[in-house]
Amino acid sequence: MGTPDHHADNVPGPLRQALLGCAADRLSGVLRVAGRPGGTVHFSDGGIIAAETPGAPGLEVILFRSGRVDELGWDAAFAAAAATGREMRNELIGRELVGAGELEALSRLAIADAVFAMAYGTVEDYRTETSASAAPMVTLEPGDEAGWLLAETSRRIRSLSPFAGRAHARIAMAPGAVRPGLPVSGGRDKLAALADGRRTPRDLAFALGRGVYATLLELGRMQADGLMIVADPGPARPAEAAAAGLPPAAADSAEAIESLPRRRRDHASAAVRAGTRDLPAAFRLLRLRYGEGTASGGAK
Amino acid sequence: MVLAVDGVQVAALVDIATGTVVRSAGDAGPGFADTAACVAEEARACRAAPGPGSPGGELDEFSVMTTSRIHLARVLNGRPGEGLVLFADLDKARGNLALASLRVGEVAAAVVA
Repeated sequence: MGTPDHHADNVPGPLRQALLGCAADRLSGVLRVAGRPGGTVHFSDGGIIAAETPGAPGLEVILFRSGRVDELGWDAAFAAAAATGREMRNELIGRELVGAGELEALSRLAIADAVFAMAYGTVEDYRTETSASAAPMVTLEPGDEAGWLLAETSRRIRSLSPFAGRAHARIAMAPGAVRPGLPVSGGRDKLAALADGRRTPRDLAFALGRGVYATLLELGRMQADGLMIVADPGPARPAEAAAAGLPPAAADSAEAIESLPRRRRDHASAAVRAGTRDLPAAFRLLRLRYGEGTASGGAK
Repeated sequence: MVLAVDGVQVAALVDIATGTVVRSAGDAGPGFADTAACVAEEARACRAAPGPGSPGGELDEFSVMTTSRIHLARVLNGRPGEGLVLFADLDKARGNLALASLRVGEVAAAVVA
C-alpha cells in the first residue's frame, strides 16, 4: 500500500481492495482510509452504512445546510434520540421531517459522495477495526454493496475527466456574466453568490450542503457556458503527478484538500477517551452548527 | 409498485444533480447506470426548455420514445438538491404511454414517502 495506483476504472487500487475485502469478510466495524483527504467507511455485516471524509459534506451537513431539516426539528429529534436511545434516522422519519425513501436516497448519495472524494484524492493506507466505534448519527439500513459503490465512483470520476476546472481552484464568476435576464436557476444562483474568487468547489459544497461531485459537475457546466472562471488555479504539480503515476485531476484534488481547512479530530478523540457514547454525536452536532472547518460565512 | 405497470421492465429513482441511481428494481443491464445519468441530463435540459421563469409551471414529466422502448420520467419536485426522477423503462410493444404515465404518477409520491 501507499502506492497511489489507479485501476483503469480510476478507483485507487488500495481503496477498491479494502472495500471489497471488508464486504467479503462481512465486516461490522470501520474501515479507516489514510490519504488525502482520506476518511472512514462504516460497515454492518459487510454492507456500507455510512462514510465520512473531510473532503465532502456528510449527510448531517447536507440535511441541515440545505434547509431540508430545520434547526428546531433537528434539535427536537436529536434530544429525543439521545434521551430514548432511538436511532436518529427513525426520529427524523417519525417526526415527518423527512420521508423514509427520501432519507434512504440522501444517505446513499452522501456515502457515494464521500467515497468519491476519497477516490478522487490519494489513498496511502487503510486498516479495519471491528471494535465498537462511534457511528454517524444517521446511517443507511441495509447498507450499500461495495460493488455498486465502486462502480458508481468509477462512473463519477469518468464523468468528471473532461472538466477543465480543478478541485482546488479558487472559483469566481466571469466578468460580466451576471446580467439582467440571465437564467441562473438550478442552483447556479447560489453558486454564483458564493463564488468570490476565494472559495474552492469543496468550500462551496460545504457552504451549500450539496455533494462535492454535484458541485464540480455544475461548476464545469458553468465554466463551459462562460459563466465561471478559475480565479486561482493554485500551484501546479504536473511533474510530481507524473512521477507518482497519478491522473492529473486526482493529484490536484489531493493537493487542494491538503491546503484547505480540515475538521479537527481532537474533539471526537477526547470524547472517545472519555468513554461516552453520546458525546461524539454531540460534538458532530456542534461542528455542524458552528461550521468548524467549513466555508460557512466565508471561511476563506 | 412501478414494475406492476404493464410493459415496465426497469424502474429507478435517479438523482438529477449527479445522475446516480439511488434505488432500482427490475432487470437493469450493465449499462443502466449510464442510461440513468443520461436521463438526469435530459431532466435538466427539459427543465430549461420552458424558458426563463417557467411560465407554464415546473417540469412534471417527460418521455422519450424509440422504435422499441418508452422511457418515462416523473420528476419529484421539492426534493433536496435538484430533485429526483422516477424513471421507468417500458417495452413499447407491451406498454401504453398514457396508461403508464397515469399509473407512475399515482405511485410516485409513495416512492420517497
